[in-house]
Order: sequence, then C-alpha cells, then structure tokens
Amino acid sequence: MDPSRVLLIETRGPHSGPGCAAFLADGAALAAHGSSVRVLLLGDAVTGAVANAVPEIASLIRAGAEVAVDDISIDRRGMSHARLFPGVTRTSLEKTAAEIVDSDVKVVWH
Amino acid sequence: MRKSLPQTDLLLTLMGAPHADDTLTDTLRLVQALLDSGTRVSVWACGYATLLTQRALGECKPRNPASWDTEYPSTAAIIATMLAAHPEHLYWYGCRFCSDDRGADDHLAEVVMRPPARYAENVAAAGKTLVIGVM
Amino acid sequence: MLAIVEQAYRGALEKQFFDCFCLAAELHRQLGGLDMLLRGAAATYAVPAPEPVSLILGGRELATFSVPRTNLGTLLDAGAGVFVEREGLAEHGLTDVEPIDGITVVEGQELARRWPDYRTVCFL
Repeated sequence: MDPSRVLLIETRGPHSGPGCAAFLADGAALAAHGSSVRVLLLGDAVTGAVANAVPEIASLIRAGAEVAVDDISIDRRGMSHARLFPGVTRTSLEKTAAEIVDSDVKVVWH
Repeated sequence: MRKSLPQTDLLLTLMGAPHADDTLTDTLRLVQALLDSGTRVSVWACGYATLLTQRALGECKPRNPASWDTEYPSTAAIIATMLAAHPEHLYWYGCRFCSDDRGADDHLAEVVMRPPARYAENVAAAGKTLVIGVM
Repeated sequence: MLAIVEQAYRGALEKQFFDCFCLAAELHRQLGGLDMLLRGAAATYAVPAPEPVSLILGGRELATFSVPRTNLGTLLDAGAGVFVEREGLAEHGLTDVEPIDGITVVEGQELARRWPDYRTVCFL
C-alpha cells in the first residue's frame, strides 16, 4: 500500500466540539508533508463547509488537499443553496465507495 | 474443525449507538454502494451497534399514530433484507461481549456472534478494514 | 414549557418517524402548550429542504426515511410556537433563506430573558 494517498471521512460538525477542527488539521498536516489527501465531509460535517465555519478547511485547501461534501447530507440540512467555502466541491458517499475499498488508499473515518 | 471465515474485500467495524446520529444510515448507504459494484463486505458490529440486529421488534417498528397503515421496518429487518439479497457478498458479525454487556441476546439467525478475542481473524479475512464510530 | 433543540439528524434510518418534533407535539398536547427554540445544528430544520431520497437497500426501497420538517409542520399546525436563532441560520449559510412559514427568527439569548415565564425549560 502506498500510504501517501489518504481519504479522510469527517462526520462531525463544528457543533460537536473541537474534534472536527482537530481531525481536519491532521489532514492539513498530512497534505503539507506530501500526502495526497482527500476529505469527504459527511453528515453533520457538511455544516463546516459554509462561510468560515471551520478555518481548518482553508488550511486543507491551501495545503493541496481536495475537500468535498456529501450531497445527501447537505440536502437533508436544507443547505442545497448555501455558498460553500471556495474550493469545496460536491460529491456523494456512493461515488467515494471505490476509493474507500482501494487498497492503495488509507481511509480514516471520524 | 473450525470453519474458516469467508474472505471479503472490506471489513467495516461499526460502533456507536443508533439514534444518535446518521452513522448507521451512512454506513448502510456505503455498504449498498459497495455491493452494487461487486465488492464483498463484512460488517463487525461492536458496542451499541450490536443492538441493530436484535429480533425483539420483529419486522417492523411500533406503529406511527400519525400514519397508522405505514410499515416502518426495523433495523434488523433492513439488515436481514440486505443479507438475503447478497448472500455471497455480505456478512454480518456481532461482538458477543458487547452484545452480552448490553443484554442483547436474541439476534437474527444470519448474524454470527463472535468473541472479541477472535476479531483479528475477521481482520485477516478482509482485504482492508475501516473502523466507523466510537464505543 | 420551552424545549430547546440543538442536536439534529439523529438516526434517519433507525428513527424514521419518532423524532424530537413528535415528542414535542405530544408534550404540547399533554402539558397545555409548548414553545420550541432551534439553535446550533438544529437551526437548519427551520428552512425548507428537498424531500429525502429513498434508499434502496438489498433491493428494498426504504421510503420511510425520516422527514423532520413534516413532523415540524405537524407541531406548527398544532399551535406550538417555534423559534430559530438568527446566529444558527448564519452559521449554516442560510441568512438569505426564508424560514418555513410560522417560524419566528430571534436573536441569540433573546428567549433566555423569557425563561422565568415558562414552567419548564429543557433540552430535547
């Protein structure tokens, strides 16, 4: 396995406490040290993708990580038209499934 | 002779209490997406996630007074449906200790209860392991 | 009574129908009136959302996925007062979105000044 490809799945939002920011900061540190990092914001974590709710998302993007939100999670929260932080894209958990099972990708779920 | 575990591509170790957040919903979304692409999946339910396959509710949850004729399937029924639809690709295990610790002793027949000391065998039988949720 | 809801989306698949709004409607009926304040993550309940997509699991369509805004509508129809904190909407990028009819936007802690008027204040 090439440990340099990492997928982080964040499910906790900023209202859950400081764990969300800490986990995303872990991702930014990995990206800054050369790992290829993708982040999927799922469930409550999508609430961190608007405005500047979680500044660590900006750090992730600056460090070269890709950050995406899960469509179903964001629609369920009535946030379909909310302006996402620049650089954050929309995807789905289902579209991420192949990456999750890819033996070359280290996956961490928070 | 001990029967060997079926090999799968991915082991999902599912922890955490139901009714707390959307972990179960998202986990089953993921499981279904993986099955749809031909991936073999095993789930090891741990902690409060062992409650999901109890037979106490039967097929349906209690009736909804606001929608009396609507049937709301129990989590056990949903999981049983998925197992029946994907007999060679989906396996569900439960941690016997966590289950006993919570007084949950009547599970779906399709669910294999295993002692936590044998968890490593499940990990070895999977190409990859992902831990979802916390105790 | 005043019921404050700040946690949201607690188990769509296993919850299906009996959520905090169902409980609040019953409390409203039994206890002679209830106000609800939505804040934090629960502030998003105050704005419209698309109907939830059904899930197909094991070939079976699950159309009973939880619909919190339907239950919230039932609570409103029953005459309960429902408020949402402006800050909660802003935190979720929903400042420009019109809340569901019948929901009143309030400032943070605005309702706290009225706590002495309620027989019970609790979190659901």
